[in-house]
Amino acid sequence: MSPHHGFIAAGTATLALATAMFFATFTLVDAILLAPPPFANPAQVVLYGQMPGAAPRRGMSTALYDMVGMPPMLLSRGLAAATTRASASAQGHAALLAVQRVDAGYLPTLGVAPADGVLTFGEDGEDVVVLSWRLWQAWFGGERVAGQAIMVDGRAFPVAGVLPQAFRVFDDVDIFLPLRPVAGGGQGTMANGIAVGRLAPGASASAFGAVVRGIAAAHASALGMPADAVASVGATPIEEAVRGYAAPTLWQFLRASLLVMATACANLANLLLAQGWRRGRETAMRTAFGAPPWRAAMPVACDAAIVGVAGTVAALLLGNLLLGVLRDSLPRYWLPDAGTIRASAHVYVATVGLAVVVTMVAAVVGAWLAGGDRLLREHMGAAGARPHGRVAQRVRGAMVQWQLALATILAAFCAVQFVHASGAWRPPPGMPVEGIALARFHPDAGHFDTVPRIAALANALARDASQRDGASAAGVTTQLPTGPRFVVAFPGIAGAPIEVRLALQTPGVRAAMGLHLLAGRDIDAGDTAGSEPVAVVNEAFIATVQGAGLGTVVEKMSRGLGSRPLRIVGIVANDRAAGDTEATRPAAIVPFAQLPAREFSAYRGLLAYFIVARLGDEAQAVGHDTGASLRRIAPWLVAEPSTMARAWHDAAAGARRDAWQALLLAALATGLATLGFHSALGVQLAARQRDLALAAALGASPWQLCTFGVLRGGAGAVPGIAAGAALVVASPLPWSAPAVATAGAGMLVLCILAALPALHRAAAAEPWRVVREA
Amino acid sequence: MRTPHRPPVIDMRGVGKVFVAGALELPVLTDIHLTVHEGEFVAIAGPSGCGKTTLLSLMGLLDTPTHGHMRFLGEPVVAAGRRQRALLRNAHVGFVFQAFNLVADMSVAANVALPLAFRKGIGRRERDERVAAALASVGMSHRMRHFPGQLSGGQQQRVAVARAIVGEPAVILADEPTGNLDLENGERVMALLGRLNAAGTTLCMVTHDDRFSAAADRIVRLLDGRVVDEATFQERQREAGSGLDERRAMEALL
Repeated sequence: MSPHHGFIAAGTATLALATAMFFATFTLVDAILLAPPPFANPAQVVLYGQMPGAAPRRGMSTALYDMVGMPPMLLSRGLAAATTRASASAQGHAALLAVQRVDAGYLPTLGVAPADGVLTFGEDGEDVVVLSWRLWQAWFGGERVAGQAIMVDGRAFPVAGVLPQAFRVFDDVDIFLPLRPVAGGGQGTMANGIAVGRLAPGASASAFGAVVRGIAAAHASALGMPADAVASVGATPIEEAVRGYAAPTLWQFLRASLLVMATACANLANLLLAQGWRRGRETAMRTAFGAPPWRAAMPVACDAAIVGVAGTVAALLLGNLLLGVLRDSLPRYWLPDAGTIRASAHVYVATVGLAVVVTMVAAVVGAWLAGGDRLLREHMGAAGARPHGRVAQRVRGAMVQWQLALATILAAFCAVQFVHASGAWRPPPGMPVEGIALARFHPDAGHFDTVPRIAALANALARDASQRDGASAAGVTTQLPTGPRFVVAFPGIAGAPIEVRLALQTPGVRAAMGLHLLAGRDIDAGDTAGSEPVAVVNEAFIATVQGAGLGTVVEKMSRGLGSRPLRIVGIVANDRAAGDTEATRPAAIVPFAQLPAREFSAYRGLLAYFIVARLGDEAQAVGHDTGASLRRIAPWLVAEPSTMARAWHDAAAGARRDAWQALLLAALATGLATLGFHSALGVQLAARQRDLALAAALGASPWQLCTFGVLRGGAGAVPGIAAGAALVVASPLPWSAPAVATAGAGMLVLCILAALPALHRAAAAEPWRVVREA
Repeated sequence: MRTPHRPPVIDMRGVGKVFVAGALELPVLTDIHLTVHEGEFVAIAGPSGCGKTTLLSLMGLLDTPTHGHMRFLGEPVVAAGRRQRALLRNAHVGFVFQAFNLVADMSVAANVALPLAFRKGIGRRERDERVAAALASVGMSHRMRHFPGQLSGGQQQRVAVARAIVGEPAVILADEPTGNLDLENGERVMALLGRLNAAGTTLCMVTHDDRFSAAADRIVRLLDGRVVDEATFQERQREAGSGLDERRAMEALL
């Protein structure tokens, strides 16, 4: 590759990598943070309730919602329950769908325009359903659907309308059902609903928040709210709330991408300077013959134009690929729906504009440093003249070292992230994931509204599943190691509450999952509603919960629901949840039949239900019809068949994506830093060609030429890499010595590879040039 | 001539050099027979483009001949490798260039020390002593911490001479050492080189200036890449019928 081709390739790669990162990041920022949400006058809509921790999402209990009522500050209000699952079928399709129950005021208060039909639930009218745009497309092909029926948990609901494509408030929801009191108290004790209000003209979110907080404070004891919970009650503009999860990360991404652009600009200026110096004599001659400065700068401008065009085109292609990767990995609670995110025209304009600016700045700096006058002094006799002053040289050196430090930091943290994430797809200890068939289902509140009914269903399904051909053990559980995770609080050894995974199970699940029973017994048929409440716990529970041991009684804590004693009757081996790479979390298993009605009412919408059956091998598990038991016992419910191995694979997908993203980010950072190092060496070499020829003439060996021409002058990579490693070690973020060592060694190897062409050229310096080109 | 019976330092037999650029072959030197003896002062003269600098670069082992035989201090060097030629240059050759070729971001002392930095077996103390002695011999001790950009042209060339002698070479090759200097500074540099030659250092110098070549034991005149004349200054003057005795004038300078 000729030096010019090498320059074009390095310059294009530098500009393309940095601009692609900006393009992808700015597309996300534009779509998620800058584009208005699909609500009418979104500035007037607030989310109100209690804010747990620093989460932007506010939870609302029905009790507080009723107490707040309709103050004069509000024009309208609405309430939505937490998203749950329901069995649905229509048009030959059947699936377990994400369902959210919303009251009549919820969608009108948000001010959403329907894609089809209407979005109103009558207060007293018939129950109707509103579809998401995605379900409408998948099941009804996007054709007019208003008035058609859809079966939900065995009941027919006419479709009222379809939501717009971009609609999302925290969760992906397939269908919206009316929120009405149901037998069993569904929303009667709801604590984590979503309350929205449309403010009257002149009212502010903070003023309304103060009103809500005052009401909560006045009724704190009736609501069972401690002082800290009351203090977190308030109101947040809906835009801020729905973007709250995404904003810090995305702004940080954008800042990082601008930093990368600045770095790329410096790299490009270095490359242009090196290129300018390669043709220094020619430029000096033009200047000597009276060429105006712009003529001397023309070659640099042409180089910059070629790199600018090639780099921008490559960046847009690469940026769209990068956007695809990032889009697939967006958390599902970010707004809007990831599928709707596309680069808009102004993203393209901004990206191209920034690429042009970066290229022009680099060209101006490069042209100035490699300017005709400087080259003239250098080439026409003033031996004291240098291509660039000491200050400029030091600034460039510092830039390179900063880049290397930054890349080392990113590489080290990415290595930590990769190790962390890659740990998540290891199979759980003590639990072979192959050969286990699963069927997820969700018992509807209409038929299974009490604990005895749900316990009866679970036990019937467990019995039926265990008697089917090929199943050596089977049972029903509300939690798998792969999630979704449901946690409750127990007192930790230090006294503070700790999170414990809680699963309701029938007998047979432990055997079906292949977990080892270390001591005591399993849950069995004798653990009924009338007997002493019992729990089987894992080793981590014994190690972390206060007073835990075989035969001891521990207290399950619950704010508002009261504590409940449980006797530990068995200890099982630890499993490990997918994505969980920290120490195994404590887990407790309790029988369905012993769950108090009050807890069941609070938990039921949050629980997932699985039939688990142990088969001989994975092939059998794949072919096994685990849902047959459900069809026989509750034919209106839909089962989602799967296997534990597949569930494990799917659950670890996020971790795998995180790992690959970490690698991608590390590759981007190290790639740019390596290119920067390469271009800095190129400049150094171009500026020292005469010195190198002199050193060769004075008898320097090839290695001495490398030391003299390339490594001298602070171009060594070690200081930057060492500084980066030191910053990682000094940072409060999690790091590990192997990750830092790997990142440092990797950077060093890359820098050595980047330096090889320059070292080769330095070592090959021809001594006769000292008399020819002096 | 002062050194007709001393051993040869450089011995060239039928040496030629052809530059190749693509399909174009350009013979620059043809059939050069030249012997430089120890302690001799040889001036190389000729019009521009006649091959003086190329000859000097071959003599200084900066480049290799395309054909012919060449010995340096008795050792055949035509087939010598890059490394071997570098070792020979470092140990036995000192260079003085027209454009001084000082490294701009190195101090005067560091510039002078450069040949020693590339030589094995020389400790820091010895190196510093040699640098100090070399700078003292050219009268530049007081500027050793300065940088080349802070010196005049004449001072820079004196530093270059100090760099050429710091390694105690057998031969100093000077390419138009006065070409970038005014008359006064040119004479000072020539006086320095003359003293070195008088002390026994072999000196080969490319020059256009007859006033300076008059001091040489021999003047090798090149034309179109061939040696067309090899004589003392007096012989040339006699042949030319001139009455000037520039040799005497130069000796007065030394």
